[in-house]
Amino acid sequence: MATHKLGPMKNFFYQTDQLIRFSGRVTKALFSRPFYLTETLEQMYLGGVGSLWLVALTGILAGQAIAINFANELGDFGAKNYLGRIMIMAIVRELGPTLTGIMVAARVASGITAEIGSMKSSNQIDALRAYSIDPLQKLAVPRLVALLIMVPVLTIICDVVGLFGGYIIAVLLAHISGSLYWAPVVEHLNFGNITMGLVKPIVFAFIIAFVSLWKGFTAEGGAKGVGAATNQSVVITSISILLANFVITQVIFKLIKGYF
Amino acid sequence: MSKPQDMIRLENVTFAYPGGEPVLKDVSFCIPEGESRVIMGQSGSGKSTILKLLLGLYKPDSGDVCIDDEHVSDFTEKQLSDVRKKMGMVFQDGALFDSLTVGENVGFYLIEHSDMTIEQVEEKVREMLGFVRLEESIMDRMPEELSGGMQRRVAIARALLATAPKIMLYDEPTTGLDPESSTQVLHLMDQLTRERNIATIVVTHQFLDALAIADKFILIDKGSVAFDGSLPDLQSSSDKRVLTFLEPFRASLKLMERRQFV
Repeated sequence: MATHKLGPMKNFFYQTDQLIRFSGRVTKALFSRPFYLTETLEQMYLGGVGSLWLVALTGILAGQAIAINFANELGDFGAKNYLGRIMIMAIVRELGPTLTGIMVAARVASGITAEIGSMKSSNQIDALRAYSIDPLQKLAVPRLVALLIMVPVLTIICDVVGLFGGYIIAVLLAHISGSLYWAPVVEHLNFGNITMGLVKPIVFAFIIAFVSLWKGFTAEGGAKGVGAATNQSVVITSISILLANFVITQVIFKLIKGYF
Repeated sequence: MSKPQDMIRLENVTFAYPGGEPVLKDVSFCIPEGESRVIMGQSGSGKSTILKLLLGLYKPDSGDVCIDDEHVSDFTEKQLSDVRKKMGMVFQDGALFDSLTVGENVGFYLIEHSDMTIEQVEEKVREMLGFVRLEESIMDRMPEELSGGMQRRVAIARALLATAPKIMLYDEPTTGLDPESSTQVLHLMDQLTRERNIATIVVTHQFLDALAIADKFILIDKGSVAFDGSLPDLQSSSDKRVLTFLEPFRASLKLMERRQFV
């Protein structure tokens, strides 16, 4: 479709409609055969293990920065003992999932769009179809499944590392004992916080997969077009993650407020 | 002697990409088994789209595409899968899967669709590489390590091993190749058409290469068939579209005629 003929609003709704339709087709392919296990494991390694250091580094630095801020503020009220409780709220509910989502979006979504886009522009996608291979089954589903597994796993790692970063600050700078820091962390690792901390990365994984794959499969115009699609993929994914984070927080609070 | 059966038939095919103007308008032609056609035309005239319509990658807006007496225009992906077994496609620049080795590329179809062991597939790959005059030693190399000519021959080997094709489709098979590599690829294409009685369509704008392999020529101009016939008919045509297309090649053609190359 020659989308440049549409106005910005119509174009926005047209693109959204196309993304939703594409997501539906990928979801349908997710429940169809064959399932490409080798490709899925390869994507888990590339996207998951490859992002590990980035997520861990982000987690520990963010955890330490938050802990310094809160330790100072709480110290004014003589409430440093609450640091662990605040850290688990900040890290598990919000920063762990969001930072992991953004980091994976920056690293993995760009890679997926660039790879699929360049496969499309060099006719490799058509070649797959010519050999009776469904490109969604072969390329999209393994990447979606890999993200659905690895984003929650990376989020948990980011949470743990972030809390550990907070612990270092608590002990070394705020002079709180380890047990005083960890006891409220363990106490508030409840159903509400765990649900919030795990629902978000699963939704973020869907967003990263659908947007990056869609941008790759619809990339046009050779290297320049693939570059533009990759750029758009990261921007759309990052904004969508922040928007989804807000919505999920609201919805989960409404649904299970009593479990926090 | 009975007339050979038409392997490919397009009848009044019109096609437009979503939201765009028609790329093909009322296109009709047929190709019997064992014959080759070269489809020529300017860039963007709809040549490559014809190949993708034949493969069922696109569906015509109107008209009929017939492959080996089967009307495939309304076929499902599953039905098309059977039809595609009769066709080998060599895409522009080869379209080799760049994450796979040469061996995996050539054996791709067998790995995906057959119960053969890896050893059996490797044996078939070796045979096929030999057929396209490539050394076995390149099996473990990645496509980007090969020259353009080698990539095209690997693509031909992949197409041949994928199916036992009755039809071969080539999209710009010699574009960007040096003269020696071009000659090797053209030889191979001609050998396949003659020895295996394969119906062949070659899309190219390399007119001089087309002379080496074509039984007949189809000229597409702005989405319509401007000419469909033999080389003498092409040269004697007074159609303005044909004359315009041939203009840049007149000097070469005269020289070749004088030297009895054509």
